[in-house]
Amino acid sequence: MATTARVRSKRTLAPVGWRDDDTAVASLVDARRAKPAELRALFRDAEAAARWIKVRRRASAGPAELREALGRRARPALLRRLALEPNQFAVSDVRVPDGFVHSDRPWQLEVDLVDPLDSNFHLVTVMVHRGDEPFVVEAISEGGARTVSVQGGEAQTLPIGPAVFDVSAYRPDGSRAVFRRSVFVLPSNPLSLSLGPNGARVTGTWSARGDYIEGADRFETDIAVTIANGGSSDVSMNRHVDWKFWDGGVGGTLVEQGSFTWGGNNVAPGYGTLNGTVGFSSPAGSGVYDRYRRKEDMTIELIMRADDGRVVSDAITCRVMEAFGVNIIKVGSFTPEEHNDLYTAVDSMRQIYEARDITLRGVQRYIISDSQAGSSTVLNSETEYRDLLNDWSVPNAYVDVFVVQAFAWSTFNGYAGDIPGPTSKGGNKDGVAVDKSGYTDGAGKKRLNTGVLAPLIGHEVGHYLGLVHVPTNGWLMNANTGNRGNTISYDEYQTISTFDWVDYE
Amino acid sequence: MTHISERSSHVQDQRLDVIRRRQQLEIRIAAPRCAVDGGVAEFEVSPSDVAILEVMLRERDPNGGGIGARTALAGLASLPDLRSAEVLVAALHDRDADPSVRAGALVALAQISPALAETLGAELADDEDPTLCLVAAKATRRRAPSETGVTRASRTSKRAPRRDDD
Repeated sequence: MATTARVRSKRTLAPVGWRDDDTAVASLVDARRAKPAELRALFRDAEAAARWIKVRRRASAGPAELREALGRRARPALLRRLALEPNQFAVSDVRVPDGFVHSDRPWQLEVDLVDPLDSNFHLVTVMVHRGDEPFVVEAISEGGARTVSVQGGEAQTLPIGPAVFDVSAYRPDGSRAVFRRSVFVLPSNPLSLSLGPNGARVTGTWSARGDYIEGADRFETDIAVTIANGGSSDVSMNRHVDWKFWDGGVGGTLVEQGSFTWGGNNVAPGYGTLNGTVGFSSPAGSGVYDRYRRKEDMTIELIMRADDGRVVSDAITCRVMEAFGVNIIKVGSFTPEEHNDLYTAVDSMRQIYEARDITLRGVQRYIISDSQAGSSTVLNSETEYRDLLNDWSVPNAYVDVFVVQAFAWSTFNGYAGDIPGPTSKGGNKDGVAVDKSGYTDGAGKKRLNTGVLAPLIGHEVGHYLGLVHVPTNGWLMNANTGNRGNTISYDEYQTISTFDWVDYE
Repeated sequence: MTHISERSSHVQDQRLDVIRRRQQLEIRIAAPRCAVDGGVAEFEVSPSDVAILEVMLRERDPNGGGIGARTALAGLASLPDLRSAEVLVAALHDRDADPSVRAGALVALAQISPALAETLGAELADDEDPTLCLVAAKATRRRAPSETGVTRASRTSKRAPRRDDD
């Protein structure tokens, strides 16, 4: 029996806005500067737009006069989109002027602001995430400019691969507005192949996971493949792709090798990327299966050729991971958007753990309705938290994660029953609880802040698995949300490994 | 926050004092926090910071996810003075504010002035937002409407929540 490979999905992606958690371009319209056509589209009423334009022509027209021009029947949705109040400071878009960033070359972002206060300067701070060591680039705009140019110089060039720009804009009064823009940094050489864990959303690189499929007695390994083209011309790739599994690194002992056909679209567009997911299926008796069974690390190497003869290759470590399971228990009502955000956060939490070679065995979904939960939808004390755990649990060997509507308990937003938690259900210590981290987005929809919620769930589950607080900024087990990051240390990994519910998949 | 590389490039400008203070507060307060270990958060906020905390509380950044307001609420809750209470009361009464901010303002106010929170909470107990309504009911130690019909005394064993696989 031998390992086989096939392409599971394929698509081309622009190198800007590369990840699915980029901030959506704001529909916020600058009340004082919008063009007549923008206003007509916004008001859906030419007369109202004309009335607005007439009022705003007056130099002295303030927010009250402008609001009056809207009339009493102004829709709430309209008011949300028309930046008029001083506190509606926002970043409406972050653009890459060239449409791409080249590796090892200076780069530039243009940050569009909406500022009803007409401030005379703005500071823009960009936190650049690429690998493990983020850095900051700042720029200041003068004279009330509404577009701020931020430039990364020779010292801030980026390597090939995904990068994330977390943009914060500040006004003189200290107001802040944020925006996230991701890019895939294109090779300046100019063709490359990059392998990564499938579905990666969390910044950084880590191993691909060998999943044991119990019913079929085989291992599945999925990897993300990106062919990046930093040149202006399209590049047609040969459909024949070679793969190798190595014991140790590339050039070690060859475990298995083979090839597959890259069917369908095989063109890497100029200044763009061609992306796919490749799945390897390793049945019992195959070399890869045996290595996985023995918990040995391997390296997957992929080799592709362009029709013009260029050869590109990359490699990624793969291994079976230790795993635990979670029961995600919604306490009270969640809107459809909140539901989606919750499971996006859970998936991001899985990736935080996978970066330390621990994955989720399973995610089971549960709900306690408003009527069943009673006042437990909001927790305001340890007593209420313990009562919730005392009343509810899922009878399995997964960690119960109660996601409540709010913590009204000091300035806390999460709690764990014990460190470590019990390995049998019962009593009032067998779970963790988190605030759902809700807010209202620019379209007026209730959403969850997944950037807060993913590490929050990961943090509380970390307690259940035996981890304690650490003072280090950027670590998952930092007590404070604002200082928390994704890092799990090797010592913490070893602690988790000893927990009874954590084992290889 | 993580280790910031020396590759960083910062703007030096004395007009940025307010902005730099805001950035410091975000790092120092860094709230909300995990309740494990309990206790009081280890940060110091000065009464002179109330103005910038108010700005943070009132922001309506459509992309902000509410984290600035939560940080501000934690900072204000640590300042038991009149000005701080005024800012929280204004946030509580701001019907344009996100319900989670209004609820957080009531919880923060309860830390500064429990009596005032109880009085104002009574005004919000019938609010149309169920979470705010429940937070208000708890602040006033009243029984919330949603609590009726569920009595802890009737339970003898744990219940399993229903599956949510839709």
